[in-house]
Parts: sequence; C-alpha cells; structure tokens
Amino acid sequence: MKTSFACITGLGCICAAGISLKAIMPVLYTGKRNPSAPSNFRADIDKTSPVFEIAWSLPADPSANNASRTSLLALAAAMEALEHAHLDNMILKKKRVGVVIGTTVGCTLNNEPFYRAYRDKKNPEVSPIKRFLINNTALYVAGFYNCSGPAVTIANACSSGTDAVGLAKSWIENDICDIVIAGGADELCRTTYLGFTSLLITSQEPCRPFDRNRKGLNLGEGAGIVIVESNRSVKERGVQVIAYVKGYGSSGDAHHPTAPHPGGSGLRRAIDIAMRDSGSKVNEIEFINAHGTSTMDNDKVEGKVIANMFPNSVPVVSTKSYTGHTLGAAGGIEAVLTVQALVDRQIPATAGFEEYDPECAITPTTKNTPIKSGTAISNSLAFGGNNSVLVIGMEHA
Amino acid sequence: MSISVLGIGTVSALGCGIDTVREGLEGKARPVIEEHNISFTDGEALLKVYKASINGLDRYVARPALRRIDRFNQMALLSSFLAIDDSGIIPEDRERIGIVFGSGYGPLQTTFSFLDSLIDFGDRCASPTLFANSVHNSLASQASILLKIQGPCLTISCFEQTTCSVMSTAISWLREGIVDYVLAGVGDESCDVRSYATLLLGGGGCSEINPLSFDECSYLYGEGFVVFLLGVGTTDRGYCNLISAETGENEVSGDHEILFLAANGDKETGRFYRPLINNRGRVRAYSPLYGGMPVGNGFDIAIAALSLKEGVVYPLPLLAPLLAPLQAPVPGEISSGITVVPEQIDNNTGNARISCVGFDGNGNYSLITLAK
Repeated sequence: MKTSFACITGLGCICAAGISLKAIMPVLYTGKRNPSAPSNFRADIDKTSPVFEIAWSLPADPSANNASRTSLLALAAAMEALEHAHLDNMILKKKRVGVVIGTTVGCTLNNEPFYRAYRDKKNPEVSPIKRFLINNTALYVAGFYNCSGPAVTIANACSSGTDAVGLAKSWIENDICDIVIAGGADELCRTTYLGFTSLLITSQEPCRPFDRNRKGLNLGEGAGIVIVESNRSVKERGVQVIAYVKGYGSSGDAHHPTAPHPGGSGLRRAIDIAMRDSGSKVNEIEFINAHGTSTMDNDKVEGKVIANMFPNSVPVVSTKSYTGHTLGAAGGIEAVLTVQALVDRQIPATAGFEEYDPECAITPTTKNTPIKSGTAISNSLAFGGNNSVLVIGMEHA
Repeated sequence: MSISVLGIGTVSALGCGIDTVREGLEGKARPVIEEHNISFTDGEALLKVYKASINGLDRYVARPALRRIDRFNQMALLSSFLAIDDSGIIPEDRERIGIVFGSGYGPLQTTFSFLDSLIDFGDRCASPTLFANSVHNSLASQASILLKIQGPCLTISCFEQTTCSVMSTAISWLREGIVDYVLAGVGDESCDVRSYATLLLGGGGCSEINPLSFDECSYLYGEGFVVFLLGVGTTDRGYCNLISAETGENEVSGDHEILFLAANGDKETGRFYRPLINNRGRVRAYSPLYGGMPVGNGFDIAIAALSLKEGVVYPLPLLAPLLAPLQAPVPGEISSGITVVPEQIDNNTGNARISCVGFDGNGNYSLITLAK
C-alpha cells in the first residue's frame, strides 16, 4: 500500500546546453545547440560524429581529488537539486536519504591507458583500479552527503536514469526513504564513442530526431537529478512541491540485444503500465518527451507507438536534440527538463527536425509550443530491449 | 505478503546447480581453484582463482545460438534456466515476470576484449558485437530474450551493496504487484586483469581463504552466478521466505539466531565482521566454497535457503584437507556457535531465521534475512 506520493522538490541539471537548469532552459527555448568533434579524446575513424560535450570546468569535489568526471557531473547536478529543494547537510542528516543514479560509464572498468600498459606487460600501477572502486556513481554521491539510506547504481544502459527515478518513487511510496536523490549521470568516453560508431548508429551531422533524413545519434554527457520526497517530509519542512512522479512503467521487448521490437510491443506495455500507475488518462497528457535518439530504428518504432497510443496528436519533443544522447544520464536529464517544461508551460522546438517521416508517423515540435501545466510523459528505450516510462504531473491523482 | 524463494540456480567453482552447493557443504565436493600466472616486467606471480564451470547450457539453448554469447552471459543464462527448473514452475504469463540482475564489476572480460579489438586492429575495427555484450545489462537482456520474459528488466552495479539492492528491488516489485515472479540474480566473472588487480591490491597470494581470521589477508577471488526465482506465496512452495533486504552503516544491530558472514579473507572488510563473531547465535562463513567477490553474499543467500529447507546449518567449510582434521577455531575469538558438523535448526516455533550480512570497505553493511 502506498504510504506517500512521490513529490519532486528539487531539480538539478548539467549538460552541453548549460551548467545549470537555469542556464539550460533559455538555450532550449532559443533553439541553440553546438555539437562538435570531441575535444577530450581522439578517434581514428573515417567520419567523425559530433558530440554534445560540456565545455566548461566542472565544480571540484573538495573532499576527493580523485573523482571521475561522471561522479563530478552527478555531484554538480545533485548540488543544484539539493539547493533548489532547500536541503542542507543538517537536514539530510536527520532524514532517511537514499541515492539512486543511473549510469553506463560510471560503473565500467574500461580505463584504456591502464589496459594498454597491462597488455604491454608494463606493470601499470593500481591507482586507476582504486579510482574506479571509489567512483561508483550512487555510492560516491551517497558518501559525499553521508546519506543513511540505500544507495543503488542502475546500469540499465539508456533507460538507467528513468529507472532510477522509478525506483526512487517506489522507495518513497513504500516508506523506505524520506528523500531520494535520483537521476542519471554519464561522461563522454572514447570507448563508448567507438562502440557506438562500430554499431553504425551515429550521425556525422547534428542529430535530427524523427526527421525523414535523420542519420543517427550524437552522443552527449551530463547529469540530471531530481529530489524525490515524501509528502510527510515536504509538510514537515514546509517546502513547495514542484511536481509529482505520478507513474512509472517498465517492460522488456525480449527481442534483440541492440534493436527495438519493430512493433514497439515493450514500449506500449511500459506506457500502459506507467499510465495506469499514474491514474492518468490519454487525453490528460500535455506532451511527451520522447527518447528520440534520431536513429532510424528508434524513431520509427517510438513514433508509431506514440501515434497509435495518443491519437489526439499530443505534442512530442526530443530534448536529445539539445543534449545529445547522454546514455545513463538521459532519463535523469529528461525527467528534469520535462518537469521544468511543465513549470514553464511551454516545450521547446525539436532542433534539427525539418521533414515529416511517414515511417515515424509523428511530427515533433517545430517551435516553442505552449502547453497547459498538467501531466507529461518521458520515454526511455535501452539496449537489450528495456523500455521505461515516467508520468510526471503537477498534481497527483 | 510473503515472498518465497521458489527455485535456485547456481554456477560456481563447485559446479552447476544447487545440488553442487549442497555437496560442497556436505564435504562431498571441492571447489575448482585454478592457478593463474600473472606476468610482470621482471617476472611472474601465481594467483589462485575460484573458477566456475559451465556445463549443460546446451540443454536449454542451441549451440549455434551460444556462439555470440560470452562466458559471463552464459553463467547468468544457465543459472536462470536452472532456477526455473529447480522451482518446477512454468510461469505462463511472461509479461508478469521481471528480471533484476546485479554484478560488482559487470562483463569485465568482454569489456577488455572490446578494447583488444580496437587496440589490435585500430579504432575503425572496434567490434560491435563485443561492444553490445560489454554493456552491464547485456546479461539481463539475453536472459529476457532467450527466456522470452517481457516484464521489467533491470541491472544494478554497486559493488558489495549489489546483492542487497537486487533482492530489495525484487521484493518491491512483488509486493507492489508489478510482477508475479522475479528472476533475481548476481554474479561476477574472472579475467586476467582482475587477477592482476587482485595481486596489486594485496590478495590472491595465500593458499586458501580463512574467512574468520581477521588479522591476515587470505583473500582469493572467485567467479560465479546465482539466480533465485522469487514469487509471492508460502514456504510450502519452495525453500523459504525472503523477509527483508536492508542496508546500514557500521554496526549490525541485535543478536541473530543464525548469522552468515560474507567474510572472505579480505582484511579491509574483516574488521567490520570481527565483532559479529560474538553473536549469541550460530555464525558461519562459506566463502571458502565460492571464493571472494563483491556479490558473494548471493551464494550465502542460496546456502541459507537450502539450510532452511533442509532444517540444518552446515558446518564451516574446511578445505585443506576436506573436513578433517577438524580444526578448532581460535580459542576465545570465535563464539561457541561454530561447529564442524551439521546442526539441526530449531524450528519448533516455525520462525527459524537466517541473516546474511556483508560489508564493504567503508563499513556499510547489507543484511538479508530469510525464514522458514
């Protein structure tokens, strides 16, 4: 039995579009983006795919100079979100605070210089291994804030951030935590970049979600954190609820390791489960923040499912057109941007979209679009066929 | 609402299937411990590793389909099939089954094989197959594809806290009615780089794990996978009930009737286990059967479930030589609860409980409790 609603009381975000949520939203509403060749690593490939890289210095972690970029990204977003929620260390100490963060790079031991030295029998030092062991994303953030609740790193590929927010909802509703720091974080990484290049799903041009002439995705980096809190804790602290995590649904395709089910069966089920969980009706959905990677397969499948399940032409946006595909961070970033769009009562244009693709069957936003402040959906589709969906609303059912 | 352990599948250094774990506990089987030769610029070092054997997966999956599935994936798959077989249940509605897997380190060997592909042949020749299989959730995904499971499919990776997170998530899914069954599994694999890192971090140099000797490092690392089929119900369907999975810091409160420690000879975590040997109830540590790994407490859960089902607490495993001579614990250091023969579990009240505790290097613990 649910003991509480999952209230969102703080938001934090960092990505190529801006160093904070306050900086990001104006960029989205002016349609600016600037993906470019990666600057932090080199790749000896024929055609470079641009990336959405964070161009400024990240806030330093005063307690440990061995933090990974992913940890620092998570920390930057968490700091903003906690400040937004009016939470400081004194309050956190008195509460049952959980941390659940999705990532891919943040939990992968793929240090290439170390491995090259190992292969060459050069006796590499153990420091990169030690660094890996102290940089598990959720454990790092939980340790930084000395959180007393569960700390879980979700490694569910591209749906990780969404699954993290879904798990946070469960912890709040089942009275496991008073407060949860939830979302996703991921850095750009040469290994991942070459992996996606090898799969032939990256574009040499800026991505164009749902466009007829889309060529593939651009990778990105960043973090998005939401503070999810019980209504009892909200009442005790006397803070304002920004929105609610009303519903979460997840379902597998059981189809293919890297391609979505052509009929989108798993995504349909995930949306259906999340909608039922939220108690929302189809005609109450103000907009959908699509997974919208700009790959041929994803956009075709996702577009058709949306067109079929939401026949009333609900507005669809892909914020990845401004952030790139940030993998494990994507669900966290998109949850944050979805909430803020509901607050702002408008959603941005989907950058790069020009021509309708009948195979996608939807036209995403082509300009800033006013919406009512109601309920929205954020989709995530992952390698391995997992589909996860959040329903976020300004009021609970 | 009761959550039952309905079936268990294991792949470990003892072999494949829960019966091999029982044989290990009864002293009828020994784990396979291989010697790895690690090369340095100025010489070589030997390291002992608990090596899992994967036999019988072709009973469930056609050999051609296994060609692109790496060894770690095969461990997870076989454990999953064995757990379902062990339960005797054939769930009809595959949309109502969830998968939640966890790993301390993920698919290490495939991650390094992917790096091999680009180091050996250049960035242009990075292998897409290896990349797809190097992603942490590839194990859960393959299981969902081959078992046609269409419920939620989640992967967790947070070192020693992984097992507890996997089990607590499974409990939540079942209690919330999201699914009717969950395949909950954890594992880790061996690879040369892990061997090298283990040596550098001070482990692997001893001959055997002595889990309750906290002043010396006797850590040998292992590999394996254990999967539980969990469902809502009563203990007449399977092994026992999964009561709770929770985390905390430093001190594990209260006395426990039966306490299984995930102590594995690692000196860093040993200091947190030391106070628990004064637990008033019985204390056991079984890592000498499966080897050290962040998710080793998954095997403790399997042993706890087996113990509750059979009504006995198995003795501490003594591997050298096997069960004889019966080496006494260090006087005054270990509670009288430790014996070397199976003891009956007193279940007169019907509330026999076993708690499995594991620590990470920072003193954060996970406590998983099972009951008959």
